[in-house]
Amino acid sequence: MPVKLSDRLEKVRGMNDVLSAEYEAGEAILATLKHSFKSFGYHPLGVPVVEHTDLYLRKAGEDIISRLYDFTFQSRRLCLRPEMTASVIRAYIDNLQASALPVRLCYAGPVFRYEKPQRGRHRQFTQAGVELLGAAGPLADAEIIALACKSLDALGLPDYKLVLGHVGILSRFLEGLQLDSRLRDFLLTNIEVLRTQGPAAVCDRLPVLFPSLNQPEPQLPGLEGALAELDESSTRGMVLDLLKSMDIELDSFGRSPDEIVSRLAAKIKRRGHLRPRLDQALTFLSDLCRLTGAPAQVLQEAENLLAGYHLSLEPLHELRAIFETLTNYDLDPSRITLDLGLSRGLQYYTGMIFEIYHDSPGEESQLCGGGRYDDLVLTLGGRKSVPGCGFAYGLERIQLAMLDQQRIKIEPQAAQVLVIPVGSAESGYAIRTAEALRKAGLRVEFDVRGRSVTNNLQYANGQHIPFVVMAGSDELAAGLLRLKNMSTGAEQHLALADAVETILDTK
Amino acid sequence: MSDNKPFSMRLAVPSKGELERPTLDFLSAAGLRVLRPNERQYVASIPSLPNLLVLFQRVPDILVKVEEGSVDLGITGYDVLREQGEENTNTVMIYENLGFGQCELALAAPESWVDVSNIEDLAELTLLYKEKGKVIRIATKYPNLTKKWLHDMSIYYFALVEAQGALEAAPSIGYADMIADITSTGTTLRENRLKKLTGGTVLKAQACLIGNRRSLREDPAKLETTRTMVELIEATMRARSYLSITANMQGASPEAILHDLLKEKALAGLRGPTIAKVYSKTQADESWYAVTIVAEQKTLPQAIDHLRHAGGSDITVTPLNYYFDSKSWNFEALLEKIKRG
Repeated sequence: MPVKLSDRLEKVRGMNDVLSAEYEAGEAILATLKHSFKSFGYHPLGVPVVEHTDLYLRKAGEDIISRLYDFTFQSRRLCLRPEMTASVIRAYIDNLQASALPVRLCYAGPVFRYEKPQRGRHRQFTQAGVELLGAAGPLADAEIIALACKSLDALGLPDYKLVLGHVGILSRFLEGLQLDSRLRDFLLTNIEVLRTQGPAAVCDRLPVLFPSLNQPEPQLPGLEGALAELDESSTRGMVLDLLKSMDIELDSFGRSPDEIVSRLAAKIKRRGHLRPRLDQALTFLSDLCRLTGAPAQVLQEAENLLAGYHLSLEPLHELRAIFETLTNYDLDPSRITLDLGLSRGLQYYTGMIFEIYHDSPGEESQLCGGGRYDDLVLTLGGRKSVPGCGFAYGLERIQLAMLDQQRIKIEPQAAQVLVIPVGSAESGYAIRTAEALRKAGLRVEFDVRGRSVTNNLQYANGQHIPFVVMAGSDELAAGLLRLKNMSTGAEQHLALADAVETILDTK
Repeated sequence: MSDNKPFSMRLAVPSKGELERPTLDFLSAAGLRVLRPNERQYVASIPSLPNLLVLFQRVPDILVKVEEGSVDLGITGYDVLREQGEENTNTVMIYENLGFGQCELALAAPESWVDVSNIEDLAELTLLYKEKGKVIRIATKYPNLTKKWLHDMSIYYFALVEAQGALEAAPSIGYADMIADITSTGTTLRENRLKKLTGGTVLKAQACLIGNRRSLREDPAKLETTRTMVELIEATMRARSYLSITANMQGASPEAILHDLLKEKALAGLRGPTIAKVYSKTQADESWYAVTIVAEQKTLPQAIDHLRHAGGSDITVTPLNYYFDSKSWNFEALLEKIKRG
């Protein structure tokens, strides 16, 4: 006998049940998107929900790493996938490296991120997207961008806008500055803060994360001065001597003395040189963030800025070529703006990047994000470098946007007919009738609870089932169906084909 | 526990371990002495709160029991709450800093890593390890807190080794490179040739009082018992930073004394001094007054000087047991919290 436990088990916080009506609306959206992906020649594939955590640690953005459902199971460090691209690329490397390029893949499925639950943001949500592998250049970029827009058009979603940027501008500048990778990452992840709150807000967090920034530039030729002229091995030797003379032991604890001394020497040499470069970076970033708006104008201003810094104009040429290609795709050009401060956090992107937003009253909701990632295949262990680009939608966000715009109605889809046996002896006949109606293409419910006719009629009313077929011995003998129209109350005796026609004709 | 009155409410307090004695001392100081029939029993009572049953529990269990509602109130460590309570929606903080059980969760690295002294060095090191295809392993009993804190510090490439017992030995045994552990002194670290990282304090914690949101919201009697507890605790805590000072003072009139005392308003009591007539046993014609003020503990030397300056002598100082404000601010805050939840 089942035991009734006193306490109800609650669902896990941030996870949602999706009930039928909403589920069907989501399925309908997904079907439209998949149809659109396939019309561009993308092939669907499925990838696992559970992956090795390492797959994301290698290249994912910090905002993703800190939100991983990361756990150890059977001595393996595993996680629930926080996004799909890394899995798709891993699957490509595992299975498809021999395929002719380009490889066009599309996918949909749940992803998991541990974050504060709020409207439009749950810990499990659904992504659908595409990856285009093996093609570099604006033709591929433009195809991806166009597909992202056209699929939303296919859904009939108005009022979205696409923001396009290019991570190459920023990363080339920061490379030129030779900032250490952590400071570079910090700046990349804080661009939104810089943009909305200014450089001072970014600097506020620096003393905690980068205490060495506050060390003044050396005035006297101290240790730094003495070491400045030496090459690496002499520096190491000198530092090692110094430590030995102080009786400081460097053995054990996992790291070799050589490694420790090298890092110490590098650290001493670097002292005080960071701050000016950081200030330079902040100035450039602030300037870059201001370059947003209509493409033609922004590209012109950007050329002036980059020329001033003697930076390559290549990313701007790429963006211009993408825009030119996009004109052939029959898109509304007013939807597209350029934003050179766009960074999408710190991720695997190497070229153009874009985001699509929906403007709903009071809030702006991101529906889609994507871009070019030419290093990812190699980083995840591919045989050779394969350029790639792609995007992913957040399906729940799209669904919310469509609801806001009243492009979809969420209502339950009732059966078209309820078949009820008049008595228990007629249930076999009733089942055969239901089967015949289903074969004719109708959605048919059969009374499995053995209710009275009256209760069945009440049930049909409550569930908004428009027709009821009563299967009794008379009907069996006559070879006709007794069909009741629930809204008019009218009853007819009809042959199967006529009954089907009546049901289909009635709206 | 002799009478038959049913206990309608439960308070869990730490059993064994470092928090037990300080918890009982603390409650006792607040006028909530715990009566435990014998040391081996795990239930007790508080005579001044007759409906409250006290249960002795392991510290990590206290949070679980409060969250599930099998006890209504609990005294536990803030470190435990932060480590295990992230997803607890039924637990509400009633009193955050009870002033005992202080501890610090901090990161420590081998002393021989002379190139690693602060968080920035650690961050760089994690990237160096990553480049070499290795990962820094940090042993800790606080994986959730440590992970979140490191992420907040923009450090992402590390592996946590969950361990119990003496973590300080982990680096020398070799199952971890570093540790994140509770450190009260630095001695144990030094003995194991480890050093704290500058800026490497993950959390400073002390004991706190927590409660089950639903049971406080739904049962007025439980809420009332909680109010009594919070009032007494709050007044006890506040009283600790004040002293009552009484001095004898000769003066023409109370007003004249008041005039002198008010020259230094900050040292003239909370609202103002109490001035009462003293009937001198030696010379009846001399007019003596007793002046009483309540002063902040830290201003004691200045307050004494001020009273002397105004002619005070025979100055006595007594600690306060309680200092009640017009209402209990912590209780007001609690009402807000349980309303919201």
